[in-house]
Amino acid sequence: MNNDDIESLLERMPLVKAPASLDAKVLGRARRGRRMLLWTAAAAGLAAAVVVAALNFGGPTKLPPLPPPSKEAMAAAEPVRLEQNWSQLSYEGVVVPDGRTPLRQFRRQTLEHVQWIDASNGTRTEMTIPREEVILIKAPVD
Amino acid sequence: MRHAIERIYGERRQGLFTLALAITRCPARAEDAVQDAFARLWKSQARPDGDLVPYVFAAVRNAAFDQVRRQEPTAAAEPASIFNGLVSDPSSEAITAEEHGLVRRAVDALPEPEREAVVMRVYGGLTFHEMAQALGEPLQTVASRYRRALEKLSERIKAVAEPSHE
Repeated sequence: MNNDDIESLLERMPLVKAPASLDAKVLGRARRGRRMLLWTAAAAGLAAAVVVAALNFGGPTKLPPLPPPSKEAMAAAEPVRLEQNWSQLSYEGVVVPDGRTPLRQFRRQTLEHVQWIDASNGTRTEMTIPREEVILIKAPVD
Repeated sequence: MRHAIERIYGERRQGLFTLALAITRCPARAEDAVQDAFARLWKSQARPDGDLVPYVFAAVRNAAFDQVRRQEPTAAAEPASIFNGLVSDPSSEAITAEEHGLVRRAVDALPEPEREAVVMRVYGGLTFHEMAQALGEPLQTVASRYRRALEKLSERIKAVAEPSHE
């Protein structure tokens, strides 16, 4: 009887089965953890949306940078992704930052809204990213 | 990492449980060991490089040894085998009752590190490289231990199945 025969014999031996209750104990804990993570991410997204809304009503310009969602939250929320973007461009007149070259100043504000929807448990995670950029274009001098 | 660990559990749950059972020799403690190991894995912030399979097996192995250490000496029952009874398992048709008894006794009699090596390789599906990572030992050591275990099993089974006619 060589090693292959022994391995073959071992493979055919009936094992004590892992109990079905183990799945609930092991995976239940993981899923509870993941639900908590998704709720945390959802709460963070909601808080961010409230901050953005408050800033938009309070004043038109400066929006603070938001903390990015954690890698774990991003990894956990892989199901369905919906993305919506809003953007507005406003002209703010001519500026002369160096005192010599006149430039036309535009301000572009965008809101990126992303949702991940997990159909398996009805969880929805949202994230809102505000961005603002100033564009300077050389103004023609007459 | 959670998804990867969940996938490993799904694919290797039987092997992980068998490894825990081979160490604890008690199904209830083996179940507790697997549960404890994954509870630690879910909580852990560690991000190991490379293959997660040996990492998960090492976690279950450590949790099984913790269970053994916690075991009260007075509560020592007869050590459980990793093998099921022949009658209750339909998949056991491919093996005779005699073979079953021989292999079961031979595996149960192996020293614990050799039994562990057999379980990791045959029932856990680990490569020697993965076993070496999980055990924190050189690959050659692990491979020789496994071969030695198979040789012992072969000798014991032969000795019983083909007794000397002198």
